[in-house]
Amino acid sequence: MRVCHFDAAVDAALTTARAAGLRLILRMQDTVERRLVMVDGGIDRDRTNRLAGLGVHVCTEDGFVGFASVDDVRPEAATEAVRRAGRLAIAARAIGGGRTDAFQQLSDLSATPEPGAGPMQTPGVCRTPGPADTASIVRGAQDDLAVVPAGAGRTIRTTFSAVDEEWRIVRSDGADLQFRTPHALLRHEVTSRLNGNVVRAVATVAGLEAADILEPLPLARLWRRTGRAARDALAAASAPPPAAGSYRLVLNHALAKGLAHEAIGHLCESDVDGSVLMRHGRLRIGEQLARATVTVVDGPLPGDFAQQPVSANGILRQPVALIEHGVLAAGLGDLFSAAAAGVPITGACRASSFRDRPTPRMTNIRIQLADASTLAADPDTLTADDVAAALDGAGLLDSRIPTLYLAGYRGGQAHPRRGDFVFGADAAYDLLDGASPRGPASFTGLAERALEAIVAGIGPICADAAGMCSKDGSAVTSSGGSHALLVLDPDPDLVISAAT
Amino acid sequence: MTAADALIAFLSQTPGVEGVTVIDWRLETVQDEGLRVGIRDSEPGGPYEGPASAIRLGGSLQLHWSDGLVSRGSLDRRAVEAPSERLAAWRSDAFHPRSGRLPPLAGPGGVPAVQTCDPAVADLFAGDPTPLLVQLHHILSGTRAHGARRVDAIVRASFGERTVATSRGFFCRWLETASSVRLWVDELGGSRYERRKLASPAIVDGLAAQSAVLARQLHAPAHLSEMARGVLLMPAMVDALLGRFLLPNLSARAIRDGRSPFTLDDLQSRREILRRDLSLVVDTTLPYEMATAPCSSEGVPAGRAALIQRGTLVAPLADLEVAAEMGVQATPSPRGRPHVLLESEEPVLGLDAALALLGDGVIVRDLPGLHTQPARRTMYALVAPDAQVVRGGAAGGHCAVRLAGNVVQQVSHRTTRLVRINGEAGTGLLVLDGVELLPA
Repeated sequence: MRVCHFDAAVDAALTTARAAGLRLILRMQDTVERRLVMVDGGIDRDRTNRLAGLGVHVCTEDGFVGFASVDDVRPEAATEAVRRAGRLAIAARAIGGGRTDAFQQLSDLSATPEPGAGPMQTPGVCRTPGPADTASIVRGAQDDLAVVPAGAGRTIRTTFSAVDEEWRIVRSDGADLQFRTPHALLRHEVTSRLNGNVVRAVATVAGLEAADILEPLPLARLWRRTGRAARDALAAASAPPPAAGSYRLVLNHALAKGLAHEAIGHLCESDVDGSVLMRHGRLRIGEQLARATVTVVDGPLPGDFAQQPVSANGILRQPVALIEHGVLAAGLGDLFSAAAAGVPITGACRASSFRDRPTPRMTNIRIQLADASTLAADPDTLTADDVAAALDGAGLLDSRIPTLYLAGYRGGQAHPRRGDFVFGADAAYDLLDGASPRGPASFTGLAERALEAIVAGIGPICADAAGMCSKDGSAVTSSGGSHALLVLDPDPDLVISAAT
Repeated sequence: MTAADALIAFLSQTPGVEGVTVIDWRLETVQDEGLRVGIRDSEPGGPYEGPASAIRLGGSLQLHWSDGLVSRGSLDRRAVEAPSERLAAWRSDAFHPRSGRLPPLAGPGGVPAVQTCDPAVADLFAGDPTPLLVQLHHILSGTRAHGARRVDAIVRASFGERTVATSRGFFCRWLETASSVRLWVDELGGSRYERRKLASPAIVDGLAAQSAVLARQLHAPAHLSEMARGVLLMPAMVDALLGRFLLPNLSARAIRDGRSPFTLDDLQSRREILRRDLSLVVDTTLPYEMATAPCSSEGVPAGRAALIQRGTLVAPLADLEVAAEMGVQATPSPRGRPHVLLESEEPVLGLDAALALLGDGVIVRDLPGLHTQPARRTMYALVAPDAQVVRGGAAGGHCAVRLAGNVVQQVSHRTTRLVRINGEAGTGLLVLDGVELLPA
């Protein structure tokens, strides 16, 4: 690993910190990112970005904190960064800033591997096809879309991204961990026109390494997903908007990931003081928040886009059952806020770069139902009729209950202290109206009501909905999902709306 | 010799690899230092918001090779300081431009004098950063004086040097600063300052008072009047809406590639997009605004350019390459806010007049989830959880409202008025028709 060669900077940082009486967490990052954008077979962008740097998080003996970063991994840069951070920590003392005793706990953390345990290699070697091979494969994937119906004047814009990222976390208590967090993504964006409107369909496959997503199986999966997205987008383009109101909602796994991420995960992060899932600053552990069949888990999965085995504070990341049998069971706890939130440290903190101070973040979050029913159709090619049939088979298609199937996740946002969330869907289908299409919709609501409303899961667990989470302006990889279909009962505080 | 000068000297020697040479190039380098301090739940500093410093040397690079290929990439410190080590990697990323031609490069020429550097900000980096930390005290004392229970804030400053140069003789180097304050009181009332000029104690005091007073108003729950007739969108909200629904659709690349609701025909025919008194302008010459710089990263000089003039589409946002492809002018590229300016030939209302005209309605400062709305459709449907109720022209407490509609239609409706807010470069928008407004 490249970060193995940063020993001189590590020694310089530790020596400088020791001389200044500072406790230290040093985060070193070395990233190589390849990004290719192809439009209708022609290369629009093709670049490899490299960045290496270090961030120094220091704490005085009396608990004042300072931080410094530099995009330079030479020993002199490390020395100067520690000095800058130290001066800032002293300045924080001068203004009566907040203190922490977290740094003093570091050596007590049993979750930390033995100092000097050596690098933790994420399985596999970073395998990336050569530039010409990658472009050829992507072009071939675009050519394969010719048979996918997409409307007039179609343009296909494909983005390929492969990040070879290495971290080295070193602490003044002797911990020194080296690990990789590679991730890769291939996304098609198909744009066309129908009746004068722009129609846009997006589909993605993601994984650990470039070679994982440029193989025939994932490419075939992407092709199927693109076809489904294009079909939904075309249907929505000339469809009326859904009537505003509350519905029995059926979410595909990408939307379910959005629900898990925005309405559950963020509320369980230990640094979110005042989350609606807290009382007097502590998570309401033990409270029944959902049906007993519901479990929500966050944690790394092998080969996952958002895998991170070690936290940004050098603590092994643990899988966490946030909701277990419907009960709030745990939080995502990091070194600095877990105690105040009343939860153990679970190695939850992440940083998108050496420039960031880490905070508790999710990796792969998924909703699981103990009594999920089976699904006959392929989740990647689900039609609205398939969904209606699946619901009917599960006894959940009731003519007295307006039922809407949402497809195509457009991203979301949550406010953990207010307890509300919003996310967007590309298309909707009214399952009581012959699964007839509706236009794009916004799904807004209160997080606790969404948890209570989860009533059923249908099909296998699909936990590869990939994206980026931009909490506090720091973008880290995120993924997750649920069963192929997740069903929520109607609730007046869970509302569908659309511009008319 | 600076690192950027050394890189320019290296590229000027026509370096080569694998039998091909670099025949032309363009680069931008930035070397800067930043400071950040924060307040979390009324406490400055701490493990998440402790004072932070960041040092950076980077930029972007474009190389034209003798065999007609082009390479583009970002520059990290190592690339700037030791470019010979990266030459082979840059060559391996080379590709045939879609247009079949190497992109044009800026030649020698002047750039306008614009104000991008405040010595008061630069001084923060010469020694003691305490003045920045003192801003935290102003925030805490100012908000508490107005009854704040909880304060969260982020204060930032940066100072650096930027260089843009091409092999065709363009060269521009300038110093730039940035100062920003974002603060929230009781998680209800927020305010923001972001310019290249240091936020003075008076400005910080003003932000603190403004946020605290707003928070006090918003503490009280209120009900949307049955007579509510519209919404006053504050400047930051207008900037966000235009940035989401208009600017991406006015990108030349999006129009060229069919990803915009606007077409090449619309450009050529100067299709009417907005009401005839309205213009949409980018301006990178505004003194000490974040948008301002003497040139873009490609060397397009600063200036003011209308994308929509008197309602008609006149120009897309275009970089040099796509401008040459489409036969349009390359446009100045705002580096930050205001990303775009909405202007009117009709009189602009002041805040009090706008509220009086509104009568009953809401003021909206934030629409969470805007990024989830389909940009190409220019339509949105969202909840504003902390909208401020207006009754009889007087701003009151908060209520959650659903807002929906088509942004272009809302901007263009004959009853929509622009609103000038003191201290803001952008304008607010009073929308009285075309907006669906319901209690949430």
